[in-house]
Amino acid sequence: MAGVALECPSCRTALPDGLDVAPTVERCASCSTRLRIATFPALFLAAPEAKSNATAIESGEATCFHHEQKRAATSCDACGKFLCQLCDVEVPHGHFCTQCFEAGARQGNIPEFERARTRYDSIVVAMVIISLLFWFLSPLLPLAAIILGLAKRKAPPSLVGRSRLRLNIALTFAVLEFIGGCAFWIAIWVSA
Amino acid sequence: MLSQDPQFRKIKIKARGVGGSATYWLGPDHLLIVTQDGYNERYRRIYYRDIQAVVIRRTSTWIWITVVLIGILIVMGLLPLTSGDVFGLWFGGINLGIWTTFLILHLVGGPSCSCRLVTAVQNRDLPHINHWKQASRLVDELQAEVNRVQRKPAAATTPSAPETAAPAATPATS
Repeated sequence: MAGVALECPSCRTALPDGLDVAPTVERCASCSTRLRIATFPALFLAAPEAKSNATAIESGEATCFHHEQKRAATSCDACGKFLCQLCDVEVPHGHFCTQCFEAGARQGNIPEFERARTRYDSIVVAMVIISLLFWFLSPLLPLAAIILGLAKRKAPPSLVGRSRLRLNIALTFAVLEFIGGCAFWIAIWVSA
Repeated sequence: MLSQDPQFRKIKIKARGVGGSATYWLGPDHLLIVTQDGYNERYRRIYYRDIQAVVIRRTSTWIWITVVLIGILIVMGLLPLTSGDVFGLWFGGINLGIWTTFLILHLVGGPSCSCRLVTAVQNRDLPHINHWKQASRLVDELQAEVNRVQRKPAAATTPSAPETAAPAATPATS
């Protein structure tokens, strides 16, 4: 049980040590809040040892790119730099240096690090709907929707259940609105 | 798309809240949380081997919303009905129907809660898990996967990695 630090989310009182792997429903002894606690074997394991940063090298051995006095343990999968254990950022499917890890997270060019996507299809759909409501702006807003939709057509779509079909349908409606809007304003201009 | 990826299975819970929603996916070695707020979609991956516990806490929000809905039901529905005139009957009847529906839907949703996932380095509240039933279902589904990974022999496991924010499925799968 060493290292177990579960606490009540409500009053931050430490929960009893008698927790088992089986889920339990109980009340906090301090604040009486009803809790359901599911614990897993990782809770009862000892904390893993910290990475050593004191690895000495012998002559002729490969060294870390950033620390010349440390033995290289691996290389970055993105840039190939040799890394010691301290510089190695390990993810389940590879090893990266801190710079590549940060760049990958920022730019999203390494799928493992991708944090977010913008749903351009939803933006285009919203623009199409708004242009229906504010019909007098109709040639402008659909035009903006068409430009945005075409510019972002190859952007990665949502991961959960939305396909490019939605964007294509919205683009079709935007084109129709643009044609209709242009026709409306041309008719007004001609009649005036 | 994740729904077409055989490695991922969606946990069927309605995780919706003010300003967004979330979906939970069980991957081969991690839980993927996809939160949608406005026009953005954010991904958070938590590896099964790092999950130490899930704590669900009952909150009082459910009771307060019930009290408020009953209050509205009385003021907007029952009081106009007692006035006796035709307008009051119509107004009260329609409101009674609307607010009774809201109240029933709210009661069917069940007690409210917050759900916290505990790892060695952080406690993270799971987004938009607001009902005890949803949280319990999430725990039930998650438990099998986490136990499957954590009960493997120690030699088969790899060193613990920091929690990274990323979708497991590559864009090529969508």
